[in-house]
Amino acid sequence: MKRSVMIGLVALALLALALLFLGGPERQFTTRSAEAYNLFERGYSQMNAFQFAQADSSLRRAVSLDPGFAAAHALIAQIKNRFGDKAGSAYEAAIADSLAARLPNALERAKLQLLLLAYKKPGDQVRDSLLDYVLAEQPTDLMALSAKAGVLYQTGKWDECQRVYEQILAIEPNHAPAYNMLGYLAAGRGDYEQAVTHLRKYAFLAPDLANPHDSLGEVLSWKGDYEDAEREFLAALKAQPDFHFSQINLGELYLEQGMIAQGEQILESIRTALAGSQQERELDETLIRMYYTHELYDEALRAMAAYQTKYPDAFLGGYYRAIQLAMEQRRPEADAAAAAFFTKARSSDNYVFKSYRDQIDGLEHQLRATLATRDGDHEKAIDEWQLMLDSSSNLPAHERWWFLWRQGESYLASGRPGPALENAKRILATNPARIRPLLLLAQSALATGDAGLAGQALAKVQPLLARADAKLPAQQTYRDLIARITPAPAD
Amino acid sequence: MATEESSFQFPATPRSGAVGHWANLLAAFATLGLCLFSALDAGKIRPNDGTVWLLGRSTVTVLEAPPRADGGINLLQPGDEIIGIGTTMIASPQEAAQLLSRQQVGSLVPYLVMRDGKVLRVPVRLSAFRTADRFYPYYGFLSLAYWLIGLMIYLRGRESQAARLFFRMCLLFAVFFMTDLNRSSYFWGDIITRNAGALARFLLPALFLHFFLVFPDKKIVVTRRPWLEPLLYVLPLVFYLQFTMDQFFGSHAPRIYNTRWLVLGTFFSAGAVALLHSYYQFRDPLQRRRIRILTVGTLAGILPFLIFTVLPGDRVGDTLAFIGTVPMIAVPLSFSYCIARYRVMQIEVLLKRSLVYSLLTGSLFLFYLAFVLGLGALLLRLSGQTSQVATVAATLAAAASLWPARVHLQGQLDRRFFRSRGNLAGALQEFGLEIPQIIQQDALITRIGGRLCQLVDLPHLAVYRPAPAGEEWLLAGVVGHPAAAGPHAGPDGCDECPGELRLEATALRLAQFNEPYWIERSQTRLDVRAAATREQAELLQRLQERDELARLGIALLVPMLVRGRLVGLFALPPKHGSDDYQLQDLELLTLVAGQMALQLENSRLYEEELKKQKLEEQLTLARSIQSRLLPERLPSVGGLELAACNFNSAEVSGDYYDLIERDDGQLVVIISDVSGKGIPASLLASSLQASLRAHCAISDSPGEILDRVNRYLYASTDPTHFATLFLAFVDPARQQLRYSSGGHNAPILRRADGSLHQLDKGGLPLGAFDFGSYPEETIGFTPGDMLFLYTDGLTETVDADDEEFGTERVERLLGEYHGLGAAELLDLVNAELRAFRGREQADDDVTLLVLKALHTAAGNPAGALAYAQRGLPPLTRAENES
Repeated sequence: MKRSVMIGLVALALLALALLFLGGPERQFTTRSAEAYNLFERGYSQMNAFQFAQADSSLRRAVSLDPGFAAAHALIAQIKNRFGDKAGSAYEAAIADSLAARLPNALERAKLQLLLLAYKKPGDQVRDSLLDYVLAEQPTDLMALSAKAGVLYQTGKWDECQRVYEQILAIEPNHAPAYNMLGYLAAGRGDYEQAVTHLRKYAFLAPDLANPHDSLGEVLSWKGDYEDAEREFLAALKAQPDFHFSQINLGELYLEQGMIAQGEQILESIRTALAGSQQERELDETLIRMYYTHELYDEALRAMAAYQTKYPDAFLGGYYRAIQLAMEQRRPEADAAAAAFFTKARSSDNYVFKSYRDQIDGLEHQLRATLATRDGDHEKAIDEWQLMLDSSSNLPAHERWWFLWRQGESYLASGRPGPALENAKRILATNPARIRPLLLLAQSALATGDAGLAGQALAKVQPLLARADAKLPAQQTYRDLIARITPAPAD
Repeated sequence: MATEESSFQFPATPRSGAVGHWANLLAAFATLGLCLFSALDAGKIRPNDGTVWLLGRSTVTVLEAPPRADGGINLLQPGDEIIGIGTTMIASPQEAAQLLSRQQVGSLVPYLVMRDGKVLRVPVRLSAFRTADRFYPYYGFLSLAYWLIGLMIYLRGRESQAARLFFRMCLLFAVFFMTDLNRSSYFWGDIITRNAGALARFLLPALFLHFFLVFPDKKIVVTRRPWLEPLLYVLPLVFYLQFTMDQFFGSHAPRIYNTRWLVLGTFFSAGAVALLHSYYQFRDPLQRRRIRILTVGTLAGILPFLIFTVLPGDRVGDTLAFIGTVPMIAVPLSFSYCIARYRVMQIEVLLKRSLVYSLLTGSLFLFYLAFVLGLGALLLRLSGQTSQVATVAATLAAAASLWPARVHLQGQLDRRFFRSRGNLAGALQEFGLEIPQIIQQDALITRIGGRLCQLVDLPHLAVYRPAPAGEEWLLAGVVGHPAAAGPHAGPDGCDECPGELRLEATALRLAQFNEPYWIERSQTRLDVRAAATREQAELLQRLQERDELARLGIALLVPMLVRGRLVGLFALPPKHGSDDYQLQDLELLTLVAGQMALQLENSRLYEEELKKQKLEEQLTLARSIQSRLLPERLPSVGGLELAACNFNSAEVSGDYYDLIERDDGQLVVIISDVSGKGIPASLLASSLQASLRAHCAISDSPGEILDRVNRYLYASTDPTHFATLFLAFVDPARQQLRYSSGGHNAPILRRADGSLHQLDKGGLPLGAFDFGSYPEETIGFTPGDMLFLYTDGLTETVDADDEEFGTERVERLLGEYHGLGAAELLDLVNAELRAFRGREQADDDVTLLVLKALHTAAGNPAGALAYAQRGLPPLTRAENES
């Protein structure tokens, strides 16, 4: 009996000691209210799931319980920034910053600063040093890992970036942004199925947000699942009607399918909303690219002219001008414009970066190839396209298809249908619903005498063109090819 | 399938030890917890997507998508891997179960599934689901019944292997009824209940068979091949391992296949056959009757269960399975009845009290559990800890701090319900110290019996011992509890105990089984003439004796055995009120009875030793008296050669001789044999000698002297004490001899010419009667004549063939060796006697006296001395003292 009592008392004493030394539950940020911290954690999780409204509500309740809760203020600042409330974001960030000095330890202060510096560009020394410090102290801290993954993504270190996101998911399987980024990373390396898998999980975790559907729609469109992509874009717009990325993507999707009028209508409908922003310029660049892709050269020339007028200081303005002059048969002026553009581009401070150099070199190869094509020098065009392909080897397939197609066209024009056929097949392996490559396949097949393959290609392109505008040049090409493979009626 | 000798007990095996006991109790309460958990789980309405998937894997794969109970279409397909529910990814079935449990019944929940390598978002309408069907309450009742009867039997008879097996079987039955393997659930606990249920289903048939291989008798096949017992469990364990493996690696929901059901059904069938075999194996109708209800109940429960539930396996429907399970209640009921009615398994327990005790113990445990959890939660709340480690630590600390209180309360409960249990150890120690200190039987019965009455709360306790002769059992003592003595109780606590009992057949059984014997009046009148065999005759006689004992108010007999010999028994009345003897009572009574038996036996041996010592003392005294009766030296009488000797047997008899010299020169010769042995005979001889010497001094008529001595002896002694005596007056001068005999062996006169004459004139032995006369005879003798006097110890000595030495042999010796002197003749006769007897120790005293007439007037200076100097056996006093 006595021994049992002694055992009980000793056990209680040990527990008391353990509680004394262990302290309370581990918290990343200081707050005087346990409930406020729980709300903060919930809000952070909701942010990761892109449930920003709910996150904002949770964090505001946390702040109401503890107005001195710096981390909660920092997250509110992030949410306001994401919604474009710059002033509100700055206000909350300033509160958080002022409260940071009162935080008890360096690690917590560092993590708070990371929250405040989350949207800084890569190369920010303060943010990067904070990141290294926090991860050295707490290697599994999700906030720091997310920030690090973001930096790696922005600096093009995609393999490392992927590993960090996988690490994040191993810690928190419901970390929605990680799925988003893993989806884009998979698409970037050409694994579109994996990308869709990641993005479907992303969309599952945040079904009420536009971004997951938009991301999924993008990847689906890249792999030719146009109907699914359209459904996702519409779902995104349903979730968030003013989500311009989805409107642009939806318009681009229509243009991609040759539904020029419908695409233009959507893009033009948001122009007012985007007026003066970077997104408006990107919208015009998309239009020019689409016109050019579909051989709507008149529309392309008009758009280029308008672009140069509208954005006189835009980086691509000189390039468009060179193209425009070349298409207008004003070759010397085109060369001069091109020389001026590339001289200016190469004089930029960014030219020290390889990605930038590759981009400039690629543009030069594209321009030379275009000019050579117009000059009828298909061999040179082929070489230039090849140089372009070589310099863009790190780009995903959905961004390189156009170069392959143009090179294939040059092959065909130079009387080498075999390589043209191969190029068409490589493009269609990624996206079997692209109109121009399908027509190139049919043409090349006919040229090699494989009427069967040509017929199959034309059978695939037929429903695509059925949805496309009637004025699309591809319609005529299709009809010509049909005529070629269809035996003439006997007189 | 032969059985061992039936004893109607579970064969006791060595105590499994405290650890085993606590492990069994833990198993019992774990089973109860599991059953309660299953019941709560089964009764809980939960959202369900209508699919079956496994909980034991890292991924959640849909194994089956049976038609939904609500008629809806299940969009999930077998093979789908569920990777998200609601808006949350899942990494394990446990997470999935938790997520699903948070959903609302009837809601449309998005599922993220991987199908054919593609991720799909599937909306699933959740339906209400409860694993318990409409028969579940009955299963719960059945489970509780099995649990209670199993625990009761274990608590009351845990010493026996069969009781432990029965206990485990009941636990498995309880789990069996409360769990269901084929239900779909998303609750994590299902992995526990499902596996526990599978384990119960696989082990139960083997345990069922195992139990009926050791109950009611341990089959010889198991006794001779003990390895068969563990072997029974091999196949079920293999099945269970396969079942478990299916959970982790199988492609479908694990289930018990039909072949396995068939094998398990065979185990059940074999168990039923073993029970039937035991039943028909009993030749004793009483024993058979005792397990009749049990056999019928078990078979009535098991056979429908086997036919409708086990053998059809998975194909059986709920209703059919229920029909097969309903009669299973007969098993615990029949066991309960047989225990209460016949004390099968030697478990004599009041159900009511055990039930109350079990309920109180269970309630105490539940209260303890609630307090532990409450205190643990309080500690956590106060400390602000939320980690699992802190939770476990707080719970353990709370459990440890409350444990002493629980132990204390449980001790109070035990003392209240099982008073003797608490006292048993101490009492046994006390008895062990006290009993050896008490030698007297009465004291032993009074003190130890009184203490037993207090401990066991007996009205009284009677001790019977076998009669020295005959088959009756005599009341050796009775003692009663002072507080229990009723108005009719005598000073000893009971005046109703019969003085003797007739227990022929019952005593045989008590000696054979060495176990307490319950006295119950038989319900049926058995005809003794119906007994066809010796066993049946014994049984019937025992039943008759039992009825008589019951009529006398005896409820229990406890044997007192020493080395297999029944030396006594306790006869005990019914206990007070509705109380009944408990196992602890029986243990205590049996142990104390054994100790008392041993002590009584020791006491008997001690008394015998005392008697022996007393006898030895008597012998020594008698020898001393007798030696004083004999003359120290033979007188020297002229013209006569005298020799005499007296050989003692183991017991001193009343032989003596005397030679008295009278003043007138006559020699009085006396030889006598007093009846009886030891001191009484010696004293009588002494009295006889004194009387004779007195009368011989005043009278010279042998007849007159004998007549007077006869009257004197008759008046002063018991008629059973008498003496034979030969008295002669020898006148050497006149060479005459006058004699008379009081019933003594006739001395032999051998004349010098070799003729033999018996001197047989006389009357009755002295002291036997107050009448009679002693005529005299006077004869003359010449030199060379020899008178040979002896006691019957000589002629009645027998050899190894039980042939007497006889008078003829004496006469032959006297005839053949007529030339010998008196001493040589005695020497010769002694040698002949010893040779004839063939052993050293004589059966009776032998006294010889020889007178030989000499030619000269000078007498033999000292016959005894001369005899001794020849190195022959010493005579007279020297001989006696040896």
